[in-house]
Amino acid sequence: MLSRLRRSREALAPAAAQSPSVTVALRALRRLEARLTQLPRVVVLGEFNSGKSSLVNVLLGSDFIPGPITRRGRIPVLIRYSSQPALVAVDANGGRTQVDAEALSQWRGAPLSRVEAGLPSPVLRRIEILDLPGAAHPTHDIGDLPAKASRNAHIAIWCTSATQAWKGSELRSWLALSERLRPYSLLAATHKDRLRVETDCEKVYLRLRKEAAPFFRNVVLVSSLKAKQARDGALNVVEPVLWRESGVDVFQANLADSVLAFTVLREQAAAQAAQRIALRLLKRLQDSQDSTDGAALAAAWLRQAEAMASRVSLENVRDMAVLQEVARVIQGFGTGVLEPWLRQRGWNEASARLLNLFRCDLAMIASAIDGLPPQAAVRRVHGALRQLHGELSDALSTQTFQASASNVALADVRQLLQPLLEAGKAA
Amino acid sequence: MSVKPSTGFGLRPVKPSRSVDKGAEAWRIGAPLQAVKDELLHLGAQLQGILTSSVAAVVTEALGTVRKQYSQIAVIGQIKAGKSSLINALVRRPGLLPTDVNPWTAVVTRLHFARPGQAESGALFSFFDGDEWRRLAAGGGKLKELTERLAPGYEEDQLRRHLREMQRQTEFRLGKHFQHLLGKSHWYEKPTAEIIERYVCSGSLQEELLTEPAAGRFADITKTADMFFGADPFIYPATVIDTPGTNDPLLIRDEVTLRNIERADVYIVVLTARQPLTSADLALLRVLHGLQKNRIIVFINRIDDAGDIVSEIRASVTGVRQVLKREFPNSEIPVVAGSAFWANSALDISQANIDHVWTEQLVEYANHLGVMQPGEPAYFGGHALPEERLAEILYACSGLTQLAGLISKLMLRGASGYWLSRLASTLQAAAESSTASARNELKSLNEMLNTVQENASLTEELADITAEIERLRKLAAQVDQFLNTLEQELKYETSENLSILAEQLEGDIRAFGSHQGHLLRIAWAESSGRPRWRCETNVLRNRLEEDVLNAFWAAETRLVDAQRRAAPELKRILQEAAPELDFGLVPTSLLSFNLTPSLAPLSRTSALDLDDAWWAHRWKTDRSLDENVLAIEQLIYSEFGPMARELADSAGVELQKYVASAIQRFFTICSSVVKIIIDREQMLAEACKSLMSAESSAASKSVVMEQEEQITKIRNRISSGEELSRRLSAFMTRYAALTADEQRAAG
Repeated sequence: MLSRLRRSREALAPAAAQSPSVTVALRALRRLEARLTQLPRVVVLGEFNSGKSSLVNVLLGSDFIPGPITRRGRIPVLIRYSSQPALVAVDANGGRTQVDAEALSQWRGAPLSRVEAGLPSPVLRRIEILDLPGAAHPTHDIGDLPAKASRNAHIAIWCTSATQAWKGSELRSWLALSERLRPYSLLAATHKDRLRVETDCEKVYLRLRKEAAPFFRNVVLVSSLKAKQARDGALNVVEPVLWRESGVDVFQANLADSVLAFTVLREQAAAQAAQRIALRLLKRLQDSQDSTDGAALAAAWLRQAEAMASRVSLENVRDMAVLQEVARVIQGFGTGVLEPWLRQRGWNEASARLLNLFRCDLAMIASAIDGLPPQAAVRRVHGALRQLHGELSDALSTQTFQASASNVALADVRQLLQPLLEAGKAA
Repeated sequence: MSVKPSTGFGLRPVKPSRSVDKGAEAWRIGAPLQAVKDELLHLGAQLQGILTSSVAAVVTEALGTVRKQYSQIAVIGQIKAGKSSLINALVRRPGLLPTDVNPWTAVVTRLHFARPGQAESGALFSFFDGDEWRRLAAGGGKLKELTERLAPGYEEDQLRRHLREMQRQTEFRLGKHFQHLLGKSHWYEKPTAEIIERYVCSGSLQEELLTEPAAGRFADITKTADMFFGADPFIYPATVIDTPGTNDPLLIRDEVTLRNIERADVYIVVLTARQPLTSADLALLRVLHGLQKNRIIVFINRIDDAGDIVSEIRASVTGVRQVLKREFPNSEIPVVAGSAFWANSALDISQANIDHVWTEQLVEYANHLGVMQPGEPAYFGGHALPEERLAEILYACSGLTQLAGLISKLMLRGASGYWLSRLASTLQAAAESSTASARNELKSLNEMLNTVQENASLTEELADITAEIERLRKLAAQVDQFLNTLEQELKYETSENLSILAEQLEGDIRAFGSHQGHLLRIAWAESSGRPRWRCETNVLRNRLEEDVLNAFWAAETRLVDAQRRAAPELKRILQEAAPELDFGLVPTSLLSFNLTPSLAPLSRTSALDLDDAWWAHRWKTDRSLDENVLAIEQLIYSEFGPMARELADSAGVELQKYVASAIQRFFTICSSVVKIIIDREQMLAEACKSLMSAESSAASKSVVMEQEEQITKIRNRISSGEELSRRLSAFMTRYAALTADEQRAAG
């Protein structure tokens, strides 16, 4: 989808010169591309001590989240891929400072709004992770942070402790967040190792399925502790039984499924959006042509005719220079404006007849007013100019003048947009 | 597993032969209160031996009231905090209340121990009646009302559908019995674990996995369960109340919980070590604190769940203490950390369960507490220690001993303590009036004997006595009238005070409302229509509480003053009755027991207490700022106005009680003294007559001897009355010191 979008956009780019509508559409397409290239953001939520950071560390495969630091500061941590580990402290004014863990733990600067971390962790090639401070803490109220943070997130993981899972306050916090997240989000019951027997896990799982299922994609029980014990430093599973018991494999599969589902749906949505953009562009081009055509042309003539008429008076109606001027204006409009316009639209009988009206010279005018008293002469000249406007308007509103030249351009655009139009239909 | 079959059904207490019980049976609960009660009952029995019938009746009634008393201990907390497990450990019956990994307690369960006049075994399960069931079916009951008031038109459709679905299932499952069961109750002489599960467990969620579909069969329609036991482990009669967890996603049971615990003597708030004191816990504590600040114990359960045990628990406990200190600066709520799991394992130790329990963390914690002896081996797997010793260590780490101790102390302060102190003051009054009347009688007897010895005219003496009786009768009427007037006066004082109080409370609410409106305006301006403002109703609650208590104490002072003013007048009347008698014992301040008005209305959840999600919804509607401010002010008034009225009413009821008992006490002392004297004078008159009719000096001699015997008896009565008075006042001093001590030591 992304490459199709990019191809269509690049093909369309030269047409931008022809119409501002094309530029608008290009911008919209570029935004769409940007949205598609963005990695899905996974926001990790839950009440305090619900195992969020441990779970994130298991996903990352390292003890990266400096628990005590973020816990004390209660700051969100945004984790992205980077080839070298890096930490950036972002303060409330948007100021960014490159730091290390040590400097972060002793941060004395402006209050931080978040920490951005870069890490060469494979999972970060597919997602970025936003780890939020825990809700429901008795002394550190995080207020509407979850609502704000989830506005820019695509997938959410709600962590709840398996031994006291899914309390009313958690349900209500979750329901307060955007419904958009629900089809891709997971409920992770952490500290699975604290359930002493397998049947207990089963029971908790069944209850959560029953009570929380309507609000999540799936429910998974995990033990970060066991997962950590099951892997060696290079993240190879050395204790397969522990690894299976940890539930992290199931969790990873579910997360991958969420990411996939989200991506697929995002592409479908993008295809539909691209189709809407293409349709809108075509309509704009069509509309803009139709509107400049008839009415605008007649109006342009009317302006010129009236300007001319105002210059013809009782005093100067017999003045040849003035009449010459009138003839020039009429001819000028005919050959300079009307003829190219008509030719652009494909020449036909109606065009010839229309253009013929504007074939006018000094002799014609002179003979038309010859022998008339000045008042009648002025009236005749004014009348002729007005009559030309009337004829022109009538002809333009009744005859069809196909815009042949720009027809080609519109057809080109339609051709270019075809993949987008079809993509939308397929979606 | 919800119940371990190996322990039977856990209905019998674990025998106190276990080594766990070394250390002077520290697990027994209520000993201090029982000791106080025993002493008073003993003194009361002694006193009754020397009392005349009219006073004895008053004392008998007071003794009866005290014998009927019991302590109520409510255990509350969020779902899955381990409340049922904790109760099982506390009452030393592992496996009594069914527990599960999922929220399992669906019903308020009351365990009654040695309740006077009740069975010592058996269980009673009561169902909702039709109205209550329909209200639940309408969705969320009280909660729905509250949300309607805060954010009108907001329906959590999915949740409501879910609730209706559950109820539909219940009705379906119970089939044709359903209608018949509503409003009824079931009684079992010998409840088994399976029967209990059927009524109190939320079984409907588990059906697809259950091999035992009967669990929770009736739970959805069961309102309360009552189980009856003998005394163990309580020394003082007690009822322990297990409640469904609060903060349940299904909303429905919170209301049931709060309604059922309004009048407990001790509240144990159970937290978890992993998430100690979440904002939901804090909200619960605030509600409770408004209710009964000095009756709360916080138990941080499931420390067995902690990872790095020693440091985590220390952090939890200090963290919880700090937050409590900050939230409730004027009261010290005791905090205990422990593990019901460890305690239950200790009570039911076996090879099977020891492997789960005996962990490195436990040993580390035991070492930290100094429970392990130096050099004591702590192997895992093949434990080197005998089971008894393992149980001892487990129990010592479980925190249950400290908890039992705290409960015992707090029990002194509850309703039972109040009735005991009332009994003490009644006994003292009775002892004093008995002594006073005996002195009077003694005097008259002596006079009569002198008359006989001096050979003066017995006829004259008899006339004197008759005149005296006449005068005393008039005096008795005077005393009664005086007490009537005093009662009227006290009642008037009370109603004066109350009307002032009602106005004051209303003023508080108005002021709070307009201040909140002001705060809302500020927050609104800062965030353009999505204010991060919450109505901090706790401020208002504290304010109302303070005003009620101040007004109450002020009223009490005025009442005592009124009595103090009346006392000399009364004394004067009494001295007219018996000028030579010392009525210095007529108290100038009548009540030594401390009454407090009920603050229960404050604990009711108001629409303004709902959490952020509901508020967010409220701001979403397109009301203007002015409309919102007005609406909030009105909401505050309509939510708290009725509470204030109830508070004032309840203060009124307590004050009336106070007046009644003050008058009663005056009456016991004064009126009965006069009446006793009249009785005695009548006896003297009889004696006089018999002396007059006795012709021979021998007969006269025998009558005199009879009277002398009588004098000895009266002397004995006086001395034992005085002795009892002394002991009672010594007791009252000790008791006052004891309860004051507990209040200080409660930290």
